[in-house]
Amino acid sequence: MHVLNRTMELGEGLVSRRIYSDESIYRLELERIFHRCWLFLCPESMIARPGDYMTTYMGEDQVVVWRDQNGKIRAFLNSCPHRGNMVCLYDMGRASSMVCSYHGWTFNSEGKLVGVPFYNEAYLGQLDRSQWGLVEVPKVHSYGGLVFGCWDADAVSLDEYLGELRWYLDRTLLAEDMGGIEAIPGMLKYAMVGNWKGFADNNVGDHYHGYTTHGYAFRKRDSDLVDAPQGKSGYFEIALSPGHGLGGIYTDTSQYESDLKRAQELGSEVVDWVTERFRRMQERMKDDLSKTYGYSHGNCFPNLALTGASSAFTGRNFMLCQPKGPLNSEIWQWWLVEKAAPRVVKEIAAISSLRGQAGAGLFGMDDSENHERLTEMTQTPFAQSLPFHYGMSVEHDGNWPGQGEWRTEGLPGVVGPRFSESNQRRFYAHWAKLMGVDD
Amino acid sequence: MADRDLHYELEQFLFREARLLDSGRFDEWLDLFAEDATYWVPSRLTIQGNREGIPEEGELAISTMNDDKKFLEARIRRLDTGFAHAETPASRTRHLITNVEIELDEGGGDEVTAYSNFVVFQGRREKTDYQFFGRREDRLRRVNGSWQIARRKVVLEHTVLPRGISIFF
Repeated sequence: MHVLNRTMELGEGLVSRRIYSDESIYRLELERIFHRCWLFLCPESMIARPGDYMTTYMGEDQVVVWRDQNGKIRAFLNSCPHRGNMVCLYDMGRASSMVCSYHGWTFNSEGKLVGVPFYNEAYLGQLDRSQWGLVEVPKVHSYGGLVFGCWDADAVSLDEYLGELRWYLDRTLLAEDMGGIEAIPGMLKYAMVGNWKGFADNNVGDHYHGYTTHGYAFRKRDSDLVDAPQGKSGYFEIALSPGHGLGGIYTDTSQYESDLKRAQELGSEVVDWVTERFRRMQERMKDDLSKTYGYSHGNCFPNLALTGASSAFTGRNFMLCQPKGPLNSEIWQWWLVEKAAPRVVKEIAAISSLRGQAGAGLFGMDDSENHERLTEMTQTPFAQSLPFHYGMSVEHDGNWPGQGEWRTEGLPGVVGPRFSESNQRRFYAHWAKLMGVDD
Repeated sequence: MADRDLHYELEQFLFREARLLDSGRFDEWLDLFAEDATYWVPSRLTIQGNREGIPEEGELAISTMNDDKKFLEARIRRLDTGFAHAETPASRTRHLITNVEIELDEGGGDEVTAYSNFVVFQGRREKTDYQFFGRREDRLRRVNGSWQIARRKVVLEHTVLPRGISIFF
């Protein structure tokens, strides 16, 4: 299967449009991407107590993420092993057991089959209940309060999978030295026409689209429409092995300064919080040659987009792009804040988060519009024979004009220029490797 | 229960409000909101033990929209910037408002509660269209003889929104 230009990886940057719409490529992705990679499940805070559960998807397999009675987080295929009925009927809740509505098979939070109606009379002792529990996701692990799962029992550890991304998450997101992060209660879900990869690659490194898609936020007279992030706009993109990326890395303290001004209007508790939060950030970076105070966008391979980790007053936005066929997706969103933040800060974050990159946010809706339109235009055999162009900054990875102006020593990853499509090229190269496609 | 005259007056108010939206007269629509107005669209999930699936008012929670009048204005201003791609070209909307019920406060006063249901059709470009179903719970306030929306709560029937929201309910 030839889907990529021969010189894809660090070359011309042409990607076949077919990979955004071909049904057989999509079905292969369900197997080779979504059954091999670590996938984000939920913030730990969403299932904080034994018995708490939420349902989500790993690829297109619906799973129940359930904290068992001993506090261990597990995930199960949401399909009765007997004859396939959906077992868990809610998006979230709390239960010590679940009963299938078809024949009454009952499962506990360890996934064990603990109840079979008329077991002796009907099954005459011939059913080995230990073999017929819920199908369990073999690997479920938390990193910094973020729960991931993987269908591949032979996959590398989550730490290894997160790779170079961890360095940035540790410093700018997870706030473990302050008690960690939690999700603002609730979720936002919205459908989007478009292949999951389009959304992922838009977040992995497309700084460039901000000036047009979100152009109003950059125009002085309109920039009060959303809390546009503060910071020197010459920030850069970083490709992180394996297949991840971050962009819009903030290297100065202007977001903190802006937060501090805002905090002063809210009282001393908030000022203390913002100052302490910044001090801790500095502390975490004290041995680093180069400082990073946050990022504006990013993507954890395959489909977890991360945006807006900088201001203390906006939630750290997690957007999981759930694949729903080659032409459709659903964006599932959470916003995370530091657990220790004052209530008033969390309340502000709960409102300001949804104004930007969200389902009804001023940023989010325009991104969806682009994806919907490009998908409409990419469906015919002729359209699919054309390439997409991801050729910006080709051959300038780690070597670009003006690079010397920035402190980048010691930053993990391939540091690219501000206007760059290196992250996207590497996303597709990693995708191609997992898919086993020719190039 | 409100008498027929009041019910008729407020139903007409809601119908006119819908017509302003569907005509793209957003500034006039915004003028119908009180200065201290809030516009809340809670986010909805299928939650065990919670039939409505939405948070209580005042609870810390993610919402779909949670705007003051100033931010409603920001949404409308965005439409003129030339960068409102989700509304370029403009959506064709049609709000069907039904099931209007008016509830008076005990002891009267200048505010009432208005319930209404809606179906909103949104058509875009050649043949892209969406429908949104839901209800509203409004606090309407009489000020100097005319009515204002002091508070709107919109409860959509969708837990996964059919698309991102670039219109008003």
